[in-house]
Amino acid sequence: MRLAMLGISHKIAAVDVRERLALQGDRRDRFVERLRQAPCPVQVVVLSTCNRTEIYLAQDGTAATDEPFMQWWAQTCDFPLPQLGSIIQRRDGQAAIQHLFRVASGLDSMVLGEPQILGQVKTAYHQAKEQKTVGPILHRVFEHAMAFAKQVRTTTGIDAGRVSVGSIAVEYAQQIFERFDDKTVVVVGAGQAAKITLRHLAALKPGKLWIVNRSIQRAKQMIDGLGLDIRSGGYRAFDALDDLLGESDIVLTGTASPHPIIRRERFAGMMGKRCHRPVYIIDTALPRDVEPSVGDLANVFLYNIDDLQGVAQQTHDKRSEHANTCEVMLDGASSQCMHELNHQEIGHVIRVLRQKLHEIGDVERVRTQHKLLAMARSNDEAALLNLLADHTRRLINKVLHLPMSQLGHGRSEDALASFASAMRVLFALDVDAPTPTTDGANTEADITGGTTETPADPTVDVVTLPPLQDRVSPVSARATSP
Amino acid sequence: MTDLTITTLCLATLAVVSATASALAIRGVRPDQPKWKSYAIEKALIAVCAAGGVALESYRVLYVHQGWRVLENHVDGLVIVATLLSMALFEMRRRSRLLGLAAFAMPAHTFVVLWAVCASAWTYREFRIDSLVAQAHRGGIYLGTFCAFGAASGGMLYLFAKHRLRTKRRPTSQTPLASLEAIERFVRRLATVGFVLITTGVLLGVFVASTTPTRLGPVWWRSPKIVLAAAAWLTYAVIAYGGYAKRLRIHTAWLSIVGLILVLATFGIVGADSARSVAIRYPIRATDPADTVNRFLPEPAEKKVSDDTRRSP
Repeated sequence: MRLAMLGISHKIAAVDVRERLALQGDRRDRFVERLRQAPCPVQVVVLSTCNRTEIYLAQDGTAATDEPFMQWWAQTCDFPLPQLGSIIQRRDGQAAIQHLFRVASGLDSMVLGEPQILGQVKTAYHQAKEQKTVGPILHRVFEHAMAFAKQVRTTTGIDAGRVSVGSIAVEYAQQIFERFDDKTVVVVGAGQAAKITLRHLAALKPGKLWIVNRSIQRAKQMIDGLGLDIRSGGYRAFDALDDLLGESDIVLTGTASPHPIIRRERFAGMMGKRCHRPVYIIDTALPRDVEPSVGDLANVFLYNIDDLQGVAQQTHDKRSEHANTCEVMLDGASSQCMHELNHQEIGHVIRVLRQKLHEIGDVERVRTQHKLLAMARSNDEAALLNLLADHTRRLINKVLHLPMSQLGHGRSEDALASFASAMRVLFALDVDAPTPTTDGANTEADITGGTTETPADPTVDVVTLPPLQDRVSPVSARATSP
Repeated sequence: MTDLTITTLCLATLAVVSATASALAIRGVRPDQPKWKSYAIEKALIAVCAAGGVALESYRVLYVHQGWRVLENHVDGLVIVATLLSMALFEMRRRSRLLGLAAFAMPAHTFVVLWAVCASAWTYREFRIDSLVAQAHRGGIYLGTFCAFGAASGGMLYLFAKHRLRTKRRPTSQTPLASLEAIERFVRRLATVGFVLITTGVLLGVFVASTTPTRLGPVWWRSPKIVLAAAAWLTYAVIAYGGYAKRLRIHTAWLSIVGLILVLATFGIVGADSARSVAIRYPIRATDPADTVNRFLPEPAEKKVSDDTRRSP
């Protein structure tokens, strides 16, 4: 089994490169179509978001390479292959699992702990399931990743709080007001920070929205740029500000004025007119548009840009603390997942091996049966015993032929040593025991399936087989039984 | 075991459950507390408090009083207040309304249950005047008290939420609180209902005091009980209708707490007065538990409690 991740993310690729390499929509479909033409079956999940494009692959065997996938990716996106090779990020085995876990839980996100990525991982997985490109390996890995991401969020709170100024402003608004369809928002100025905050506030669907600016044209441009539709409210000049402040529930300021435009005396008078209803003021301007002492008035909740950014920083710090806990959890979870995958792999291998040995056993059984039927009338006991010995010898030779022949083909010393070690363990071989010399049963030629005249393969010398009765494994014994 | 002992033991058990739920609820509104199972446990404990209160009041009405009257003594009244509080809280928890209210209302519930334990164990006394008007008077007062506890809990939550907003701390999503607007509306509505109930209770109480000879004497309208009750009534009138005045709106939360303190002070005056009069009229002479119970009973009720005592296993 080979599990790998190939991808690019915001950490290694600029936005223009990420745009070109994104595998979404048609591109994704084309990429999957190319995969279907692959010579060997491959499991694939494509995760493509604004910050990353990652391909998770699982294949049988360890010899597979990434090159075909990179080539298909480059062809699909019309991107130079060498350039792709230079920026691509590769992860194999447990590292790939850890990477996916980190991505799903938001530890690898641009905004630490952001929750959207989990939904995107789920979508990618479900799309792959619909396109039938997910097999048992990726199924298990993605199920584990999603469960881990949920566990991390519930136990550590890494996704708690907001990290953008606009969303923090909205969160405060929701702590002051229960509903917004009867509220009036007054936006003073058209600065960039005010524009960003207004985008979030507009999502609350306030009852009225008034824009106060020196240039009505610029205010209209801002609203058009945000794609807002002002049904109730409109644009006003600065001389109408007092009237609007008396009516407002949420005031958002972002002018370039060098002096405060809302002073305490001015606002204190208005609070009486508005029956001391709570008012929420967000001052995104620098220098500030609202005198800080306005915030001391009863039922006035004043937040400036420093307050909001301070909260964002606190949230980020808190999430960073949680990230360390998550990393510890991640090691354990990914190891567990890898362990399960290995067990799943071993189970699969055993099933295939069993099937293969049964096929060999069936062929030999049919061959021996024919010979037995031919001898049935002769009653030659010696011939019968010879036939039985021949059957057993052929069966063992056939079973051992493939693994033994694999030992000699240009293997490195390390590989041979590991094979030898594995065989000692798998067949419970005692290498110190005296080598049996029964007739032809464990000679070089028998092992390779040839005759006694065949020259010995020097690479097979390291293998010494125990007596026949010890070498017949339960699997092969069952395979040869009629 | 007498009925009163059973009641006291049940109330003590309820107090333990309520105190545990209070601790969990208070823990829940502290910043940076992870969302864990305590929320579900707290909800379950509130449900236990509500169910326990209903069971206890049913036992008292059906088995002890054996009649239709649910307010035979102060313990019954406190059990009703505690049960209504826990039921209302459970419903709010179920519907995820007014998040954070339990942190203030559950301690109030614990206080009421402990008060009932004291009333049951040491100052138990049947109500003297037994008429429909007196029952309605007590009903108005105790239901008004329930509203007072609810409004004061809301007021405390309002002040807490406002303080959190003023300190400009990170609005943690683990401990969400209801919005100020929602809390203020809740306090105002509950205070309005409480005002109506207390008005009913006070008016009927005045009627009883003026038509029946009571311990308050001929100048009942100058007694501390009546003065405090009038002050509490006035406070709730201000909360209920002060929203229309400009500056009073700011102080709704504080007024709801002051209103509860006045209500409690009124109960305190009544309790102290009745305990003193009982102690003077029935000094301790015997060590028999039945006599100890009888000491706190008014004369007309003596026979009835004796029956209760006989009926107990």
